[in-house]
Amino acid sequence: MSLRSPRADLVALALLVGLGGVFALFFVLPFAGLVQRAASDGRVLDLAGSREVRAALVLSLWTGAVSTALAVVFGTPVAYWLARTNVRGRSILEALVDLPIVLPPTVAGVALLTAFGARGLVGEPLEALTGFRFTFTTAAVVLAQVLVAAPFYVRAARAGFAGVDAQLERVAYTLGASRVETFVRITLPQARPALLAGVVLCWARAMGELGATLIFAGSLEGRTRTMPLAILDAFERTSLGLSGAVSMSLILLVVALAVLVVFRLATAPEVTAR
Amino acid sequence: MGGLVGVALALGVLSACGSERETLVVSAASSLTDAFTELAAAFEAERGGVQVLLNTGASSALAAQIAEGAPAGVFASANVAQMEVALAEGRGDVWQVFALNRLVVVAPARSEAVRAFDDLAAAGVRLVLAGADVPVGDYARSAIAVADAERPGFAADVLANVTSEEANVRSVLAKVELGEADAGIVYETDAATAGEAVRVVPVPQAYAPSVRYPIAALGRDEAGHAAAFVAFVLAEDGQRILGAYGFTPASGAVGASGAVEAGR
Repeated sequence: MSLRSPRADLVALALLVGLGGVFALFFVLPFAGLVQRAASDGRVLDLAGSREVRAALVLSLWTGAVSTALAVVFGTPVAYWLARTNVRGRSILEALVDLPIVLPPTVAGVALLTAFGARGLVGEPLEALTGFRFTFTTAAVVLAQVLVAAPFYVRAARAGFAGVDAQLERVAYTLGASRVETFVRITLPQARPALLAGVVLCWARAMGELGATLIFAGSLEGRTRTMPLAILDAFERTSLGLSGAVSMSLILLVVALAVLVVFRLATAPEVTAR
Repeated sequence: MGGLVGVALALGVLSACGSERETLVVSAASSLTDAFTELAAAFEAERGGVQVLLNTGASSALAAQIAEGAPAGVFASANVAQMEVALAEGRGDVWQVFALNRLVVVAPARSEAVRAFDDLAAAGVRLVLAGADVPVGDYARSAIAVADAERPGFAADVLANVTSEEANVRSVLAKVELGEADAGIVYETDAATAGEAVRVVPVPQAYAPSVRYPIAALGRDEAGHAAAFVAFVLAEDGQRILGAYGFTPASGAVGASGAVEAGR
């Protein structure tokens, strides 16, 4: 059978459909299981209205938003610089930015303790000076989320900036545009899709953060117990158990999906502008 | 979290079955980690041909796993309530108390904030407890409640100081060892593993609940390994090992799960 024959195309098509089907099934099944389990539990609505779930959801939503905003504010300059610089060892710097992605979150939590904990490099002098300790505060939740989630934004943003033709920026300079003006009017709009994708990835990772938060921030309702921690807590609680935890997972998924859809719609390029 | 890892471990073990050596999964309360590691080794040496896989975590997490059908042959819980949860689905019927323990307050050796049980109510103390369904968290809250009966307002003050509810006794201890928390409530045996890093403050006898560990064989146990392990823990060698880790040996009280009693 030659690769040119129509039969080869047919086989390839069948193969693609088969592989794609298995892949899709693999992602659909766990969600189907969640929905089925939550439906049989029948407590989704009760739980959604309960004080503890609301507290955890609100905390997750706003800490996730703050962490993402911090990642954008502090990460964008780094991403742009990494995309434009030719400094020696750039690939090592890029690898360092990616490092938290491979770091197990529990290790990230311990690392945060060694830096910002009561005996930490910064934590100890900071407490001696101001009396403030990060551990067990909502600020610790945000630090944990930024550490594990920001690399996803920086990674996407760097790729986006690298995709913007530097020639365009040079043309803008020669036409008299300042560097700031060029960045805002040329570079940012060109990199926009990549930056938005990075924002989504970063926010999603922050919303799912569990291990680093548990170790560095602890778990207390309304202060540090975000949805993933509340779900873990429910699983180990006699009154809620696995089906309670599953129902809460479903609530988190639905809310996260709603936020993502709204974000997509709000940031979609306007059709009329084209 | 250790609990979820435990499920993964237990499932991994199931799929690895078919190898020559037989395995017995023992789910044990976090506070039993060190004692049961030695117990398991001693049991393996005595029985031969059986490999014990120890799955440790909060008893509440382990009970939830067992109630969901996690393949555990033996469950050693830090309180009777979680044993009842594990047995409610008909995975076993009788349990026996095999050890006793005591509740203590631990504080970082470098910190002066908590030097007596009463100090837990002082304003600004960062207190870490285990979750309310985790046995050590349950025992701690009942000790606080008993103290409150003597001095109304004590419980409210102490509970207002709770700065984190941890997943199990070992993570409560870790937060104190690291100096992040000013105090935590754990078992005496856990406090002993921390050594110099922590100061141990007794819980007054009048408030201290009686900490009892029940054990039960689960499931069909065709090879009899689970029953043999339970018997080993209750026999002289097992009790000696538990004593060496600071537990008070106790092979006495026997209970049956409510579900089974109703069925008979």
